[in-house]
Amino acid sequence: MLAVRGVAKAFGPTKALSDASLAVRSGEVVALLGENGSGKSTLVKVLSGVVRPDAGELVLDGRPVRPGSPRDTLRAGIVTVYQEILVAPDLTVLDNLWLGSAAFTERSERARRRARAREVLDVLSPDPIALDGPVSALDLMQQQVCVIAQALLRDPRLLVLDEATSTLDVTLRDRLMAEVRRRCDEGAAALFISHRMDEVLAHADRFVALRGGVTVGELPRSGADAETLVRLVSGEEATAQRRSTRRGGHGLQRTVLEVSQLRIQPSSEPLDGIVRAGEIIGLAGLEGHGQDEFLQCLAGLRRPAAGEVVLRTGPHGAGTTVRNYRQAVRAGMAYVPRNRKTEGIAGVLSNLDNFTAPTLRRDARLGLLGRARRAARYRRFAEFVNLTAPPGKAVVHLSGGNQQKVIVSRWLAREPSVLLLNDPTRGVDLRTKQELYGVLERLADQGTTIVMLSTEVEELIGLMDRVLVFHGGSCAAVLDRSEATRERLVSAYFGHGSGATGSEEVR
Amino acid sequence: MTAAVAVPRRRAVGLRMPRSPLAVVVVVTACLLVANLVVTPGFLAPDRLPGTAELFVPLALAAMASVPSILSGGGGLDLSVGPLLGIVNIVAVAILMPAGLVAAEVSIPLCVLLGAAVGAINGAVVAFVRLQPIVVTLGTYLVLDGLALVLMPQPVGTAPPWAAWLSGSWLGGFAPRSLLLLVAGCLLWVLARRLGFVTLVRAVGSDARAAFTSGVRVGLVRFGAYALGGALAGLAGLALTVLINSGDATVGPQYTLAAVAAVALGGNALSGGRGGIAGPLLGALTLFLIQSLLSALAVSSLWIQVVHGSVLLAAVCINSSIGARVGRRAAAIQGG
Repeated sequence: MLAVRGVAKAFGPTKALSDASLAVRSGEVVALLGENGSGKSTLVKVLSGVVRPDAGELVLDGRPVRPGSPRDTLRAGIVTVYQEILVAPDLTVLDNLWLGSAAFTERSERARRRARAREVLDVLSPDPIALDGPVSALDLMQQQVCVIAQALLRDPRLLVLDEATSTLDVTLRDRLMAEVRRRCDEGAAALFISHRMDEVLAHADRFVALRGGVTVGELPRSGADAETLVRLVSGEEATAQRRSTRRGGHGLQRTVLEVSQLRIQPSSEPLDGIVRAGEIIGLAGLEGHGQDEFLQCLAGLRRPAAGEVVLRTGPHGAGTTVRNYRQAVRAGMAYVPRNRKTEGIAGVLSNLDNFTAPTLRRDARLGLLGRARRAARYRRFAEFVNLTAPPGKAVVHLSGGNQQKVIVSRWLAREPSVLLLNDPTRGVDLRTKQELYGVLERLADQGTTIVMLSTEVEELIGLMDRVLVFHGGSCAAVLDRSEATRERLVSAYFGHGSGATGSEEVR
Repeated sequence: MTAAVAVPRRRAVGLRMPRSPLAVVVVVTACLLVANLVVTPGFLAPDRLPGTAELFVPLALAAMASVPSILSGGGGLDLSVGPLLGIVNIVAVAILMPAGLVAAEVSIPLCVLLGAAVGAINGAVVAFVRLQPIVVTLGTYLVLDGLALVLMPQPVGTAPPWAAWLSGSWLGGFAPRSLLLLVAGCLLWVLARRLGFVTLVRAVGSDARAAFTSGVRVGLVRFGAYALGGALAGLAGLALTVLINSGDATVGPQYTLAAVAAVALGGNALSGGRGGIAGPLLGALTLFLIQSLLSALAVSSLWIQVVHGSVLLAAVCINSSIGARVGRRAAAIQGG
């Protein structure tokens, strides 16, 4: 019914998709699997018309589809439920359900619109949802039901569910999947993306895996189990990895960071742990499973639901409980945020200005800035991170890698004892990545504690002393350097902390 | 929580939320009306009513003209509403009249179309070139303001005959004819609502991404919103002509900020997505009643701006605290 062939899409220098192909037959539920950054969500965006592909073709029911906008693909019969809950909060439930469809403005259709909306909502949700209240008065789960109902009301030929069930409870999920199955039996089809392995196994007829923007394989339902799927997603070939040459033995070093009974959300499992000076800790997990929130708790940017974070950076291991960001910074913490453009840099300023912004005081004597002092300090750190761009250049004109170097060196200039990084190698070219790894290792050797969120399996395996894998808002697995293999990591991503190999310690 | 308890409560919140901002402006308007009647007992008497209405209608229509652009979100705002009133006034007096186009059935539609065309230009640049509305409409503001002075450096003391007719009244003063323009504006709005266009504008203003992924042509809707606002500003320009019964390039621009103030007073969200025309109309009425109260009390007209501004700040503060309380209540119900 739907055939996708050789779709490619690049965002700037990053290739999100290079050769993605997919076929979905009428009556079928296909699961699309892949790690973070494998191109899943880009492929969904291509199918839904949000993103225009650079190459490749889409054929629906024998006719080529040229998606220019969601409007086009919706008219063609491809209806997508997105990962985010996209509703117009100020409109009523009824208006949201019919928004953008052809019947939206027909006044004569009014009664039919109400009846159909009622019908679909009742199929999905056992609790009635009022049609005339604003969507903003509903809770997240009900809003998600509205989004799904909107999709079902369009009678899709192909229904694309991108993590659409994440906020639904078990009852609603079962109702939805039963409805999807019913529609498929009537000749529609569904493409299904989920981070829950059990769900994927229970509902899909076929599995297609993406890796690095390429379709790497598929499996029929028969013969597929969690283990084979993980292998399909992660790839069996042992990639030639860069293994850290550092000695891991920091066992005698003092404790720098202590986490006790920390819960990110009220529902998450409590986490205890210590991090010593000179350790590099990786935080991993599929997008949105709690690793980001955990890092923000460490930085004092977010309050945990319970428990505390203590920075033992004072003399003789005196501790500071992290209450807010300012105080954490004063205690020797530095945080490199994820989104360079919005959180990290002041684009129009030169990279010298960007570098000095948080540490300006160190260049001042009697409140006056010393230009030479500033330049000397900049040179020292630029050398350390191997930044060659001229100091006077506006940061926006630098490459992503160089921007990242400016930001990292800026925080290094504070000489932190704990450095937190939120996915620092995202959108950075390969060479700079390697350079950054080198910088981090040298820092760790000098005794800096590094906690780094990463979405790249390679660097989690190659760089970290330990990796904490998050699933469903809790730390689901802790892998030591010796245990961290690609397969185990991916398996832990999908909540199979002990399933695939059965030897990790799961907290 | 069980459905039987949760759903009716939620519905109650849903109904209260859009109404509470309106409640503030209704109370304020009612108080001001009473105050005006106390100070000037003949405030609503038939001999004064046509003049009062004439004064009110341009402001009310200017407020309505500001509604669609603000409602469409994305920082939507049309600063050029005021000068657009002015240019319509001047085109009617200095271009259409000398050209012999004095018949109401010709010149009134032309003026409304002129307004819609200017609004469409604003909308095209905002929606398709994707520039910031505040900058775009500031540009049109200056262009229109300048053009008005070029076309009419000195006020001209003549007006087309329809203006004189519209300043009259029926039923011995009880039904001022200038209100016809306001009625026309409201009909235009009701038509847009009936066509579902207003809901689309709200959807776009509420969450443009959600609207886009639902298949709404976001650019087209925003474009239409500015054009609709322009058409309403055209009507406001006609009302201004009725009021001053002449051509004057300096009056129009004053309406821009008063119109935005009326929209805010009326409880519409300036971030878009929420509100209609009832609130802004009441907001305009509030500003108008304050002005007439102050002049009846022989307060220097220099104080009017100060009072307008203070009332606006107070009303916006009250509205936002009500909004916050309602939001908390909704959250508490969902949590509990």
